[in-house]
Order: sequence, then C-alpha cells, then structure tokens
Amino acid sequence: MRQWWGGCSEAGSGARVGERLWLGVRAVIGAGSLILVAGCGGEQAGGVGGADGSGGQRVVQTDEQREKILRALAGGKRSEADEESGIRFRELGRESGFEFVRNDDMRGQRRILEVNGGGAAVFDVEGDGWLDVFLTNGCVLPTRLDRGQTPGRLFRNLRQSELRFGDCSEASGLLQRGFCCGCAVSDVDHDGFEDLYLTAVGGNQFWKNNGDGTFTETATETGTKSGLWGSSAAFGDLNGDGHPDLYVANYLDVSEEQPLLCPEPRAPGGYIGCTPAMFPGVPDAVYLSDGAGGWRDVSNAVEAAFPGKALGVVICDLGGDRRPEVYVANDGQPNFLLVSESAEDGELLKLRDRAVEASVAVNYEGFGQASMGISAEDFNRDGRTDLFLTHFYRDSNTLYVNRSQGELLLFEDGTRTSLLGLPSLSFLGFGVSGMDADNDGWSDLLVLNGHVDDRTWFDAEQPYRMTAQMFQNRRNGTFREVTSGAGAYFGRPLLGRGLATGDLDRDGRLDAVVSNQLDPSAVLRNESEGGGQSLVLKLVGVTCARTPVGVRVRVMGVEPVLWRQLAGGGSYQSADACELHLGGLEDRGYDLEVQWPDGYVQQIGGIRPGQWLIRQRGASALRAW
Amino acid sequence: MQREFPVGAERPRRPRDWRWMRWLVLLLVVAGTLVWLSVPGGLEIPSSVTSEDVQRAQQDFRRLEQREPDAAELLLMLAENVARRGRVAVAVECVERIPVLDERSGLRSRLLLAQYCLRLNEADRAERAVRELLLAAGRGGAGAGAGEVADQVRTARELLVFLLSLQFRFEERQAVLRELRLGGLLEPLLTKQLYFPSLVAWRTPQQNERLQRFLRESPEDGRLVAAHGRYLLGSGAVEEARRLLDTAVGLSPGDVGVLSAALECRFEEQDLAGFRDLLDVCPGYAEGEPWLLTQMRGEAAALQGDWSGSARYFELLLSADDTNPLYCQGLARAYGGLDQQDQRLKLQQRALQLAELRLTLGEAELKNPGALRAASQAASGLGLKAAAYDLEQLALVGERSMRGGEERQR
Repeated sequence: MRQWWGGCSEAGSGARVGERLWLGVRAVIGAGSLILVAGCGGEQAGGVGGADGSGGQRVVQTDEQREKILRALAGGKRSEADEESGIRFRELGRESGFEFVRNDDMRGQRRILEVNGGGAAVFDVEGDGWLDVFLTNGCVLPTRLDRGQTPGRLFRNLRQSELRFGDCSEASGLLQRGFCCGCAVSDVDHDGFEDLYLTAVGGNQFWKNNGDGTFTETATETGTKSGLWGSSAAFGDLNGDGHPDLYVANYLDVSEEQPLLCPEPRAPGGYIGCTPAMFPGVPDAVYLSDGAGGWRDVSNAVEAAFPGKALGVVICDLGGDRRPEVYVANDGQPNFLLVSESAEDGELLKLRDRAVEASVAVNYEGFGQASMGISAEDFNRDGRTDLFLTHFYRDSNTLYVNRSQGELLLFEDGTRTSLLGLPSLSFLGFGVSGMDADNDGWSDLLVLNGHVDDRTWFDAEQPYRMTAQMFQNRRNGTFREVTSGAGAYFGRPLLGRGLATGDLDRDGRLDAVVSNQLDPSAVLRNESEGGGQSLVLKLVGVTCARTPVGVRVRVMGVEPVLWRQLAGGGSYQSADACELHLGGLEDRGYDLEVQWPDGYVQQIGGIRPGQWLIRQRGASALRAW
Repeated sequence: MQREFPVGAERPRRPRDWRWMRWLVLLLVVAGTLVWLSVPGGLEIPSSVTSEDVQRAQQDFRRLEQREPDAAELLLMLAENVARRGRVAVAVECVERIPVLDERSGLRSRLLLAQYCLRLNEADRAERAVRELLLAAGRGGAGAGAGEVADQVRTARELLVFLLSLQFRFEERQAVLRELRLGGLLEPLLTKQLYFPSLVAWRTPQQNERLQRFLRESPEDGRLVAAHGRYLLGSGAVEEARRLLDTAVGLSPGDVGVLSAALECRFEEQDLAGFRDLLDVCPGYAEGEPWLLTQMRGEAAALQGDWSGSARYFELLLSADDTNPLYCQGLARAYGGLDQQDQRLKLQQRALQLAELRLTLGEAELKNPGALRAASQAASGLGLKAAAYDLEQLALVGERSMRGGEERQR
C-alpha cells in the first residue's frame, strides 16, 4: 500500500532529543545495520493531526477490491462504430454573387461593442416564394462618425438552381446605417410582405416592406426606435389580439462615446476585453402592435427580478396551450421564461418570469450561464418544444428537455444525457439552428463558434477563431458530433456569430446563412445525402397574425410524432425563414393537421413532399413556388 | 548511504586469540557514541554541504542568537542559507534530517521542508511534511513557544489548503479550513473557500499550470494525474481525460478519490455501462467519503429512477456543503421525481440565489468592501449566518484599510 501522507509513529524520525541516547544504545546492541529513516510504514486508516488530516479521504482496503477495480477499468469504453452521417454543406463562392464582410470597427481597443457581431435574415422580400438574404452591418464608432459607407446588404435570390444572388441593397432603399446587430422578420401590417426590424447601438430601425422590392424606415414614427443596445428581437402575438407584437432583447448599458476599456499592458494593443459583468444590464423592450401600423411601448409589462443582459430571444408555445412564451437568453445571468398572465386594470400585458419554476433559469449545476443563441425545437419528438442554448468557452451548451405536463411548465437539463455538453466546452457558441440537416425528420444542430476576445497571448488553449460544429440527432435522445465530415467550411476557424436558415434553392433541404466577424460571411448550401423527402410549408394567417408565430403543423400517421412549430426569433441576432420544414417523408400523400394560434384547427389531406403555401381557412392548400 | 547514527556490527569471531577484538570494538563503540553525543544532536550533515557552508551557518547563527547552535539548529540555518542561494535540493536534505519532534527546530524544519518541496514542485513530499508538522503540533510534541507554534501551524494549514485545492480534494480542504477558522478571521479567499467551497473558481488555467509543474516532477502520482484528468474533463478533452483518469486509478487503485474522478468521467461522457461497472466495485457508502463519490451515487440512483435514494445522497452532500447549487439541483430533481414540487421549487430558488451569490463573491476582496458587504447580505438572506458574519467583518477590515491608506496619503 502506498502511503501518501506520511504520518509518523514514535519510532520514526520524531524521536525526542532525550531519547537519542537510548536509540544510540539500541543501535549498538542491535544486530546488523540499523538505519532509522524519516517517515513510517504501515497503512493509515484514519487522519492525522485531527481534522487537518483525514478529511474523510478513504482507501480501498483489500487487494481483491483493487483487482475488481482494475478489471472494471479494463472493460474500456463501449462505443458504437463511427458511421457516415451524410450531412454535407458547401460554402458558396464569389460566383454566387454573395460577398459580405461585416465592419465592427475592430481596431484593437477591444471595446465590448465590437465583439457581438451581426445577424442574418432569410426572408422573402418580394413574395415570389424565393428566399432572399439580409445581413446587418456595423460602422465606425461612435456612430455619429458613421458616414454610411458600410450599410447592411440585401441579397436578392435570383431563383437559379445553382444558387445565385444579386446585391439589391441600393435599389431596395434598405440602406441600413449605423451600428446594427440583430434582425427580426414578420409581416406586421398584414399586407403580404415581410417587414424587417433591426436592433442597433444607438437606435433600432424598422424597415417596412413596400411590396415593390423597396423598404421604408419607420422606427421613429412607430415609436420602436429605442436607445438601448439591442441584440436579438422576435415577433409574436403576445396579447392574443391577432397582431404580431415585438420583443427586443437588450444587452448592456454601454456608452458608445466612451465605452469602458480594460487596460492590460501585456495584451496586444494594451487592452483586454472587459467582461459583461462590468456593465449593468438594461431592461428589454416590448411593443404591442395594433395591426394598423401603430405600436405601443409596454416594456413595463415584463416582471423579472432584475434587468437582464439579453443576447437571444425566442417566442413560441412551450406549454402546448397555444399561448406563446418568451424565452430570453441572458449573458452570465439566469435566463427568463416570460409567461403571459392576466393583465390587471389599466395594463395591456403582463409577462411574468417563470424560469426558476420551469427549471430553465440556470443549468443543472445551478449556474446562470453566459447564454447567447437559442434553438427551440422538439429534438426528441415527444410533441413538446425543447430549448438548446449556446454558451461561453468552458461553459457547456445546454439542452433543456421539455417535460411539461398539463399546466405545469417544466424542463430538465438534458445536456449530459444528450451528449451535447462535453463537445461544446472548448468552444464559445453564438448562432444556432436546430435544423433537420439530413431530412430524416429529426432536428440536428448547427452551432457557430468564435471567441469574443483574442486571448491566445496568455492562454494558447483558448483559440480566437473557432470552427462551427454540426451535431446529428441519433433519434434516441443523444447527438453525435459530425463536424469533420460536414464540409470544408467546418474545418475553418472563424468568428461565427449570426446564423439563419431556410431552403434557399428550393431543393427541400435547409441551407444556412452565416454572419462572421473579420472574415467574409457565408452561404452554406445543404448538399446532404440520404434521409427522406421533405415538406416546406409557408403558412399564412387570416384571423391571426399573418406570420403566425406559434402555428403547429403535424404530419398525421407518423410515429414518433412529426410536427413543427413556427417560432419567432431564435438563433442569435438572426431570423430564420418564416416557413416550416418537415423531413423524413416518403413520396406519397400525407394528411396534415394545422393548429393555428387562434385555436382554429385545419385538416388538410393529400399533401405530398414539396413546397406548399397554406392559407388559414383557405379553400385548399396551394402548391406554390 | 545515509548514516544518522554510529553503527556497530558484530562479526563472527574465533573463541581464542580474538578477545582483544571485543575490547577494541567496545572501545570503538564507546568512542563513537561519545563523539556522536558531543556533536550537537548527533545529526549528520549532508555530503552535499561544504565546510564553508557549515562555517557560514555557524557564524550566522551565533550572530543572530548569541550562542552555539545545536545540530538541528545548524541544519536549519544551513538549509536557509543554501536555499537562498538556490540550492533548494540541498536545503531539503538538511531539513529532512531534523526529527519533527526536535524541541526547538522540529516544526520549523517541516514547514521549511514543505516550502522547499513546493519550490521543487514535489507536491506529495510537501504534503507529507505539512501533515507531519500538524501531527507533531497536535500531540504537543514540539517545544517551541505557543505563539510560534500557532504561526507555524497556521502557515502549514494554508499550504495544505493550497495543495488540496490544486487537486480538487475539497472535502479534505474543508476540514483544514475549519481548523484554520478556529484561529481567527481568515483572509477573503480562504473565507470564501470555507463557506462556499463550490462557488470559488477551481479549474483555472493558472491552477492547471501549477499542476503541470507538479506533474512534471511526479508523473506517476495518481492524485496529481487524476487532478489533471479532472481539469481536462472540465475543458472538454474527454478522451484524454479518460485516458489519464484510468491511468491514475492504475497508479492508485486503492484511492477512492481517484476512483471517484474516473467515475465522474464515465458519467459525464454517459458511458453508463462503464459507470455502473466501476460503481459496482466501489466500496459501499461510508461517512467521510469524497463528495464526488457521494454525488456519483446520487446520480446513479437518479438514473435508475430511485428518487428516494438519490434524495438521500444529495441530502448528505448538502449537509456537508449547503452552498453547492449542483447539490441543490440534484436534490430538487429527486424531489421532482417524488412529486414533491414545493420542495423542488424551494431548492431551485436556493440554487438560483447561490448562483447569483457566486457573481458577488467573485468581486468580494478587501479592496472592494462593498462587494464583501453585498456578499454578506446575500449570505444572510440564505441563512448562512457564520458566512455573513465573517464577510461583514472582512468588509470592515477592508474599509479600515482603505481609510488608513487615504489618511497616509493625506
């Protein structure tokens, strides 16, 4: 037995001086050589020095037990064979007409304003059934110095089988100025054309789609400009009046004129990035729409214990009661789960934070994580929407599995059991999509990564640029990382931020648009093999919001339950196409059940895989595009 | 070969003509004994020490103490002198020869030994030295003055806290911290470690860097290897972590702390078959076992849907560390399984408060009395009276110190 703490008996080196003579004599009379050494033999069954020693540390006592332990170790890990995932993405080159590098005014000062990057929106500008792409842009800081030289870019889909885009920013009039961050999309005025809301440093922007390919900025006249640093935003009918309302996730209270800098003489440039903990959070903003172009600021409707530091937001029905909840990802703080409650006299809306009760405020370890992006999907196909969040370096991404029953809104941290935790520890995640990348009917995960500060000068283990990651759903509650086989893009370390998805080339597979910092942004065409066929549905509300956030579509006769819900917001500072993608289908007709947010349930029969436009209370489903 | 005492040896002898040899041997033994007794303490000076070193040490001692050193004092002085000149390994040789129960120098020798071992990055040897000191002091065996002993014990305990922190041996550290606190108010970091063992960052790159230095010196120390494995596991390097942790168990198959770390790795990577196999061969629950092992038992029970069992283990953990949000969450989950939703909610709220307190604690230093006070209030709100009191006292110390500084500036 290896003795490790070296407690000594009286016969050891701990002899008193007075005992030396006796020891000397013993040395003389003893036979053979006598060597007294420090330390002592024998096992230590208990502690030494009272409480200082033991601390309860125990040892296995018998050889038999030790042998059993070694035999158990020898069993090794029982892993499954590494099979081909079939998930592939190809980055479009310049020939596609898509070319964009975001300007975050990164000049080595490491201002916190620089690090969050931008977002992407995938939406149908002209209503032609083809998805276009918008990317937000930054500018020189402070924004008063902006000369409008780096506006956001709108890329029109040229409807070719080989994806091609045309930059129509100038022609559309959508010349976003200032330092914009995130975006949200909805047809807010029921005119059939999707509008665009942009969050920014120093004043958000609300671009009304005029229906003729042009846009008009309306933030000031609608009262939705705000002056706070907005990150993500989401539309959804929060008060059930049939009009899409707006939730703006605000981040920190930072002066763009004199942002706090954290000097560090050893760092390149003399600064390190200040942590968000050094800045106060700010309340989020909520605007109610009257459906006729009027908006009312009801930000005080949010009842949370503290002003958050919000980076992500999603609006969707988590409880299955057709009432939308708002889930807010806060940076370094507990997250919010805002549930609408009966408004009292004079109130138009009340949103109370129920995150703690529902176990989605903090992760399993009880820590408020640095949350960035959100994906709300039914990952285990049990009919309930789960939540996946991206987090900071060495702070694992988190999967909250929905266990709600009846009135009880309840989640369980399934990060460990899903095997999504450990592979994320060496990454700092932002944009995320729970897309069904391989068309098998199960939601996979695409995660963008990249550090917020280049710390390689003092810790080589913390890379600045990081690769994106792809996780394939193994259909049993677990995921496996398939990054290495997902295409060359996934081998390039970048500063990934915003991520939006949609079927850009109308091949039935979800493609992705990525907003990077410093490096060019990218369109990733999904060229995955295998899987089934898919339905891509565009749903149009008539007696509910025209972009019907919360609408649920179920494919009948498929087990486990195959369904999708249209969420507002999600990912990070980005807007996915307002469509539903259902994969894993065969080439035959299916019956669909559509549950509209206003309670109307529509049955549609004989829908075959392909692209469909479904109008609420319409005579029939229309095959479009 | 090291010889601490004169050695006598009997040889086979013939019955006649060799009787004079008996007398010669006896004479030699007596002479040797007398020489040994005449040399202070009878402790041999290491061969790596030069006669100049000895002379200088004797002179230095005389100058400082106005008397002749005994053998142990001479060795101590030698050690300090050579260590100052960077010959730390020689210093270790010197102090190691001093018996820990030596009246004047025993305790100090072990303290210096621990410090020198740390300089040499020998963690295990340093820990043994510290524990020898604490054992001797606990038995009242060393005759140094009470104040001096208290100082030495305090420093030794602080060293032990450092060593245990580095190896994530928190349950052992807790006992040492409690003993330290009996001696008076602790400085902020130790206070935070005492009252909030899991709320202070414990897997930092700086710690890992120090751990690596220890490991370079002792690559086959199972505990150090296990600590490195746990660090890697927290970094997401699962394969490497598992390899190291299995190696660590092989190096120290009887060490339950190391075994717990290997279990944790299997649990984190959800190798549940391996997890169960290993847990099956662990000894049954016993009071005082590593917290990590108890936690793994709680997780195993939860995996089997044994919510009562899981609750029992997490209750035990909370009785040992009631400020660990993970334990709160584990017990909350068990209560949820038992359909005790009110208790589940209470625990989750407590976990949330603790998570918030963690942020405040990060800023709680003497130069930030406001954060210390805020942490004190938060602790009070959580019913942690002792922690609240100590944090408030530290806030007062911080304020006094800052006022003193301002006055000096004026």
